[in-house]
Amino acid sequence: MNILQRELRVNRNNLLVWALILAGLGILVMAFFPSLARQAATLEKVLSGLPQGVLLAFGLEKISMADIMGFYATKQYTTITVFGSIYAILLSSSMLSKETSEKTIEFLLSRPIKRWEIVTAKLLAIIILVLIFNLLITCIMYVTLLSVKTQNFSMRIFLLLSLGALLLHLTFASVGYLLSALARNRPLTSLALALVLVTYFLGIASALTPKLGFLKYFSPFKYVDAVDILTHATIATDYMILMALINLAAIILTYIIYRRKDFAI
Amino acid sequence: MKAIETHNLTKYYGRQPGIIDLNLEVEEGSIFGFIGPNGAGKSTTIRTLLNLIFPTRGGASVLGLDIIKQSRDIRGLIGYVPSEINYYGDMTVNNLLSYSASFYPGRSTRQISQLAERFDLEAGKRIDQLSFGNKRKVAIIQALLHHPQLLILDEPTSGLDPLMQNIFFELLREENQRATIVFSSHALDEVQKLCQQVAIIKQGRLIAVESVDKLRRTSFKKISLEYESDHTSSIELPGILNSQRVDSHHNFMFSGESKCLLQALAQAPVTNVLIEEPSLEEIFLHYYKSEDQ
Repeated sequence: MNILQRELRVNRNNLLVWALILAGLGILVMAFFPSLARQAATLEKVLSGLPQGVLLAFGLEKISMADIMGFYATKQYTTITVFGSIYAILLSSSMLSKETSEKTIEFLLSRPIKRWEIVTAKLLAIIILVLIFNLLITCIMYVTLLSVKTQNFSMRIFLLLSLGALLLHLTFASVGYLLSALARNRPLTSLALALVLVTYFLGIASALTPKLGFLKYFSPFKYVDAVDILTHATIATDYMILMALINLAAIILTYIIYRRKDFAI
Repeated sequence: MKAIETHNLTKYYGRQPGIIDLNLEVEEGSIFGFIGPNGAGKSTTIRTLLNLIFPTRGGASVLGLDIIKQSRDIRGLIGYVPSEINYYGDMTVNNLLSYSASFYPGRSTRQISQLAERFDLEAGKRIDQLSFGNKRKVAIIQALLHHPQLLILDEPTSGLDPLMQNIFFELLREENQRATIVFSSHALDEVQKLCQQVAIIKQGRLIAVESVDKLRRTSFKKISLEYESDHTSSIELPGILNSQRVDSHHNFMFSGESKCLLQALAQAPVTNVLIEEPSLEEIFLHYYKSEDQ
């Protein structure tokens, strides 16, 4: 409990800064929607003039920007998934390794506590922080959507998009947590960041041509793809299973690695 | 039950040996010194006992508990002062000590304020604003807070001024009424003040375990002489060990009576004299040479 409490306290401000900036950005972006919706016809024309590749990459051939959910999914959802994933992986990839790099692990491990208890407490901290992060953004976005809407929108789609973002963030958090157990002395921050950005671009590449379609399995962003959620009004089961497996594997490996790790400082 | 018992405890860092086949026994209730030069394996031994690192082979028990299987129970019973103190910089002294205490539920903890006062430590200060010596005091207090049965102190006096060292030693003697104390150091005089027994470790191997009384009786001096250049014979006295003569220079260890040495020096054609305290390593090297003879 004491480790969990400390982690929540230490990471509180960071969480607020990330969530509020991201939500604030969302409010700004969504504020453009009413004027955009009024010029829907012009917009459709402009979009249809864009190269096919661009439309495919951002899923614009299937959803309409003049629809509020279409606008939210293409504009704000992408930002939330990318930056939320960066937040999640930065948080988790230093969660265990900061004790090693700051050498405070010697303090922690000379208390009567088992290693798995440390891993569990910090994992809980990550989950709680990511949950609060997503809850904050979802609430702010909901209020924003209500105030800018020109027609009704599907609550189911909105909640599915929120759930998709949460699952994606948790997935990156788990992988980041594994990185934090693997790190020797310094947190693997660059690797963590690269992981998010590279998988994001793999996701875009996978939509460009059918030849690259297989790449979508390497991009968690595609598991919770906005276009899929909008068109099918559900998150595909096989992607859900895949995400669950990634989470499970990363967390189990974290426990195994941490159990036998040497802390020679 | 022994406070600490190790069997062929060995730790390699990759190929580099940390400690090799360490067999050590520390009696309960004693104050035990653990000495050796830097890098000899003192901290490796201590970290293995705390299960911060895993032994390559061999095993050990602390207070009758296995260092790997019962590591948590062991750590509940010991207080540990590391050689390098790294605490959470954002915490105040008070925060850190209560955080530490929160890991020992059910164990009565003493008053943080009392101990802080005794060490003249400001409990409201942030850890990252503390001096080296003050961090050391925090480390000592956190180790004593939960009434440990075994205190493991890794070079605990570095950074403490002599006054604080005395307060600290006084406190350790009080603690020794109920706790075993293991104390690592590279300075013999420090160990002599407090310990009954010392283990000497060098290059990862245990060289000897000896009582301090016995060591104290063999008080070595390191002597370097320079004779007049035409003088070819050397001083000879009982108590001269490891005599080395190169040209006019004569180096040896002396453990005999000082009076005899001074008389001999007065009569010899000596142009230069240097009498030094030998380093720890030299004492033990020569001490064990003389044991063999």
